[in-house]
Amino acid sequence: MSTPSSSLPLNTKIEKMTSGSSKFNWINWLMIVGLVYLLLVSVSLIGSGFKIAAGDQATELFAFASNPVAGLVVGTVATALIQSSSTVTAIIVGLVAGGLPVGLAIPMVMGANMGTTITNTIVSLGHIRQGHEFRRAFAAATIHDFFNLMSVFIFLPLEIAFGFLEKAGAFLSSHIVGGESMSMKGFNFVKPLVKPPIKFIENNLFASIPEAIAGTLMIALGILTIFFVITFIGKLLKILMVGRAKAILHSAVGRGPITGIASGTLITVLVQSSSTTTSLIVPLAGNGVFSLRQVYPFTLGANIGTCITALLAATAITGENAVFALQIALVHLLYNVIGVIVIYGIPQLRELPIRAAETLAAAAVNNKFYAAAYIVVVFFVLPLILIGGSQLIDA
Amino acid sequence: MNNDTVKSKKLELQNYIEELESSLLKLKQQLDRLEQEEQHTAINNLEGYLLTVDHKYENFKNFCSIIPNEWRSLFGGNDKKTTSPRGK
Repeated sequence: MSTPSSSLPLNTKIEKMTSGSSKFNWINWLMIVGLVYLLLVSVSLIGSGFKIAAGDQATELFAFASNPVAGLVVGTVATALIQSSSTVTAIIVGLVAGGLPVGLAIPMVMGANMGTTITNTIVSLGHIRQGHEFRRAFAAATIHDFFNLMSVFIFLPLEIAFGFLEKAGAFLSSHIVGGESMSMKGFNFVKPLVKPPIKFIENNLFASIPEAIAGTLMIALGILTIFFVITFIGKLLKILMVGRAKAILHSAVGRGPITGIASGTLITVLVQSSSTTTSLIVPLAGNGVFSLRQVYPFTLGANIGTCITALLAATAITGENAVFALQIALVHLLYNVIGVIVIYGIPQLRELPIRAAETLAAAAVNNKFYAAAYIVVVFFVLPLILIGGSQLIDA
Repeated sequence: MNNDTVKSKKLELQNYIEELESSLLKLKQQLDRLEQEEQHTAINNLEGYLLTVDHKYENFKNFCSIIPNEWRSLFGGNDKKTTSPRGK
């Protein structure tokens, strides 16, 4: 078994940062609180900006995504490009708060799930020069892709036909919100915190420019801030939570798949990034320390854990659209939980991602071109073909 | 072979199978323990694995440099392949 060759500098760095001084930790935690606040403000900013820019035309503005396949592709490609499903789902929550219909946002959320799997596939390429290691690492990475692909193939048609996720999300969100906002049925604790900076930006920064441009600029600023926040928060939490993550992983060793799913969920909630969780397990699988079957439930847990960001983002939304913002966040959670229950719960379906990942890894180890072709086709060419095809059908 | 001999032979074989099964179980448990020890050791070195994740773009660049040769080896006829070693 090979260990990462250059692990020492980071070990030293992280030890210095985490155990070195409690003062440093305290500052880090304070920064995380600030960043979470910034995330809430950014999501709210996108919502407000979208309302200003689109007015009552939100549906018309997103007419290109009225085709569910187009929405799915938008979610996939956007996430694959910025490599953060948390960022994309937080933006989607903001857009829903601004008037984007939930029905249009659902395929985008499904796409975000799909797009995020590119990160661990790239991580697996680090083993490219070691045949056996690469085979195991690539299989451990692509099992997540195949699971998410299967999830889309099963649930997107069902959603188009019956709207079951939209209905379930609406039912739950209306019961949780119970009023006009995320107010715990009356007491709104987020609004007084989030509204002042939004009002300040609206009334001072963009007051003198036309509404449509101001709204667009607010959306752009919100997206940029979310990207910065999610990236930075991920880095900080990785440093702060590495000890907790170790403890969770230690306690999951030698236990069954349910514990694997739970530990994957918990670690993702702690580090606020499914990419980090699923990427972390790839070198461990590559080295043969964990088998593909042990890695599999862990990556499914990451799918569930990543929903925390959208739920957190939904708490920033106030007003009449708060219920829809929470609805899309709950749809994201339901989609992932139901996906795990159905695909992992049915033995015949459970085996399919394993077989597909093993077959692809075997081909990729023989010729690395297959790995490259797979990445380009699944994340970029196939989405473009799907968009083209769906536009043709629409026409 | 009379009936008694068959019975004793059967009993002997059954005992032998039980012994083998119990040895196999012990070996499996031993292997599980070793695997789990290996996993705990790897988890203790989690920071090192995080570093691998942080270096993903370098890996990607490395990968991109390999692909043209792999393409040639797949579609380019008798070109000599000079890059990545195949599976061990």
